[in-house]
Amino acid sequence: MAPEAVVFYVLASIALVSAVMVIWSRNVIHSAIYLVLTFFCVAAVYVLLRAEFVAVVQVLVYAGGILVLFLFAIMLVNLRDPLGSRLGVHATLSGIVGVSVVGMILYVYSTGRLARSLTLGPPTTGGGGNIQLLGDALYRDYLLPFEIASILLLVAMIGAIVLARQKY
Amino acid sequence: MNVVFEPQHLRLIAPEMVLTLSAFLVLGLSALGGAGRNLWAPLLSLLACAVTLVSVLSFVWHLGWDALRAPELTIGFNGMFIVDAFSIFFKVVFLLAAMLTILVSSRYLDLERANVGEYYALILFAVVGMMFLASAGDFITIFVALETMSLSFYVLVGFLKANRKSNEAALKYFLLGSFSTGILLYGISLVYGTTGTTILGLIGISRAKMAMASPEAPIFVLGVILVTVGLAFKIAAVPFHMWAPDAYEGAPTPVTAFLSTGSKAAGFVVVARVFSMSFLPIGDRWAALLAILAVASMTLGNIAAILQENIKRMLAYSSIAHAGYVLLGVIAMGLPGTAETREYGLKAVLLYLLIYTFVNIGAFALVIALRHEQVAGDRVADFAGLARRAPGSAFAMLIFMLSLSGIPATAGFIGKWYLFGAAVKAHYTWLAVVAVINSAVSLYYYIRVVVNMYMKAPVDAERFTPSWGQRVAVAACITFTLFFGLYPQPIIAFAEKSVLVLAPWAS
Repeated sequence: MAPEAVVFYVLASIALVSAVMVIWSRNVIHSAIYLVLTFFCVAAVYVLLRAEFVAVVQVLVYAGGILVLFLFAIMLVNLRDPLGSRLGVHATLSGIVGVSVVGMILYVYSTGRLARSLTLGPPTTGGGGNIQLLGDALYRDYLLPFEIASILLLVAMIGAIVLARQKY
Repeated sequence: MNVVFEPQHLRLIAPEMVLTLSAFLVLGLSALGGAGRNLWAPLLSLLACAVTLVSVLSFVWHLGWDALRAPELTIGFNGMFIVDAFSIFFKVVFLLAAMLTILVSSRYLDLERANVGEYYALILFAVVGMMFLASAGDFITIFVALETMSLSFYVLVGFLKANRKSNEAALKYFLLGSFSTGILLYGISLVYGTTGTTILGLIGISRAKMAMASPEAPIFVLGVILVTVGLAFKIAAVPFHMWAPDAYEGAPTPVTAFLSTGSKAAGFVVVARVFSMSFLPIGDRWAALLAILAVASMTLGNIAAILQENIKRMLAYSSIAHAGYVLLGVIAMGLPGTAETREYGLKAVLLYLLIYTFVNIGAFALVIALRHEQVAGDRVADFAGLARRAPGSAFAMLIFMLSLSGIPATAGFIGKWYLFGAAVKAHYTWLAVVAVINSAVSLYYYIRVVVNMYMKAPVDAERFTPSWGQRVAVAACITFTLFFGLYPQPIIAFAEKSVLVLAPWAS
């Protein structure tokens, strides 16, 4: 096996195991910590796929920002007693849906169609890698929508403050 | 897509930049506070709109209408921003609507104790979104501009934080609006997937080349349907109108006025631009789809309006019906008739939206003026005896109501004349007949307001004293309605010059 493949399998198995632990663990804080681990492993897999930018964003946005939000939310609502694990109607239903989705994926995979459509193209290296491609797209081709998006975000922020403030 | 950014393209977005910077200024100065801020924030916003209006019209002075009809020099940012006569027409409509809204807002917000700079900044940001929308030449720009406008409106609808109705309206509008945005995005992604581009003109060319039997064709049609649904939400056409009555009723009344005119016109900008530039090759198909929407909107809007006691709800249903009328022009644009018929349809759409803006804001201005310390002034019964309390204002309301129902000698008649004419020209005579019957039905509830004003005793003894801003706005609207009702040539010529030159692959 090529060294890259070994690294991939190690990372993938850590990611999968910790993903299972996210739902398995009874303590919500532990779940959140396992989620960080999953995010980091997925980010490493992105690096292996030569998608450096996505990897960086994964770490910054998901492992950084969103996880901190999760932890804040957990601490705010103060879930002291761990949730019980009763098998209600909802759990059964979601179990059935989950199993059938996995079955579908396995079926499509076994027909071989997925493998054909997912063959990797040549690595996108135009000198600066995919970060440069992304930069070109954002700051040159799509400059105008990018700038309007910044106004959009500003409006969202002002709106949130206006609505959340106690007084005018 | 290998055109590098060219600095001279910044000239094209100069009006939008001016307005954005003014919004920053209003916002920043309002943070400083001070006693006089209730006065200068609206004044500064008005000034900003006026300056922007001049800078929009400067394109016409520099290049002339003919150069702007089929623009080559004024396309920038890789085809994503188009300054043509069509976009200039709508920018003028948006800015005028915003100015009238600002004029009628100040007193109302004082009464609601919500007169702050952020309100005016959000109005300006909504106009920035609309202006980008009018010039957008590709789907991504359309999407971000549409969201800029919608987000501003979500907040404005819920601006009266102490008012439960306002909160509820904002939440409903936000949820349904986001939902419709999702549908619109899904449609855009399907169209992009089948044509490989988001540039509106290129989509049309790509679709015209696409073989009818190719597997992409049905997916493209599905994309068109989803885009239609998403846009139907924005213009509040039945059956995608559910948010409108609640949002219109709960919102601060000046916002309702702006929502029913500016936001609706902005929806129609996208409809006209997208359906003529990108979807024209399958025009006969979506015309049939829009015909269903038009009939449903007109009929349901008018019948539901009859039942309303709250005048804001009544005008909401009436605006749903008016969206149905305007769709007639869009349908005429899509049908594979002569180029003349198509342009006639589009001209009718432009003309009607301009007229509707003035008439509807005028009507809302009087609803706003009825609001005083104790009275909400939003029931039809609150108009009782207005003719005795304030003959001038009652007369203005009479003219606006007649104009909305399309009585001759008012501007509303001219607008409807062209719209129904477009449907007849496009051989959709039955649709025009339905529209005429609906106009007759609508007369009932518009006249009900008039009956209340002229034939009932006043219930409200308080003196009727509109603020100077409301007086100016009503005067402007009434002058527009009567002057152009009797002498419509200038606005007809304005609309005619602003019609998009329909894409070459259309014929």
